[in-house]
Amino acid sequence: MKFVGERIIKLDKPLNVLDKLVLKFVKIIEKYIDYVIISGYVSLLFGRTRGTEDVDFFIREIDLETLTKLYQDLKKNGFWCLNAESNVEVYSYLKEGIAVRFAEKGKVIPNMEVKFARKRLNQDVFTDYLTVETAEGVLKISSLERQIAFKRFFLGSPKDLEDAQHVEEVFKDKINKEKIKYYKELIKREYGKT
Amino acid sequence: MEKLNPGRDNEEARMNFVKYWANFVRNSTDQEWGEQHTAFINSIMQNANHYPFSSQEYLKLKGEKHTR
Repeated sequence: MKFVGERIIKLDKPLNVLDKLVLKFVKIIEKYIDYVIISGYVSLLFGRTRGTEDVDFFIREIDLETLTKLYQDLKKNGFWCLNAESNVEVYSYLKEGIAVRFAEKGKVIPNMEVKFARKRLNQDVFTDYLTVETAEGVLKISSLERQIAFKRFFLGSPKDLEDAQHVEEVFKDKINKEKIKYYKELIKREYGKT
Repeated sequence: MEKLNPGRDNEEARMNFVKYWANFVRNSTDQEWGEQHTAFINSIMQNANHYPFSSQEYLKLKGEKHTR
């Protein structure tokens, strides 16, 4: 993998079935909404050796009409929502700040956990993101520094600390340590953690 | 490849492996690490096909709201 400029990573690995599922999902949702993938899958994409049951997405807030088109397109392409039976229910969950989960029809895991980015700190992902170019499509992921800071200073479980360490080691020469400190401070201010 | 350091406890052993593997990823081609990684993730995903819980049971386990 290599950086092409500041914000694009070219990834030439053979894609696994999870990558292919994420790309399939993204190709549908990006027609309707702006998204950024956050958390564990970012580490997995770059080689972390662990399983996961979900892939986390932040999306920008949208109206019911747009959500309805998105929901119908997902259904048409073999996805179902685990939480709710209708577009209106899905939309009301998202408006309440609750994540909704989509999986391949009839399956529970792996699923795509989708949430409106509401807090100011979460909305930052739409400006501070990276584009990953793979052989079968493009993915938008949160910046590596944001990823490390949230895993290390907000989530903090052994699994999250390992995820952060993996990303930091793989991109050793590319990580901006000052930017990690900046996010650490923001997390402290917004969530009172560190 | 350099030696994998054992850990004094499980936590340290796990973190040592994370560093060891990440170092391999950084210093090999995407094809080299990717082949091993893809085989590993694909086998996990194959096991996921046998997940025994329904969506309601899964969401209940996670303490999440659902109306389905």
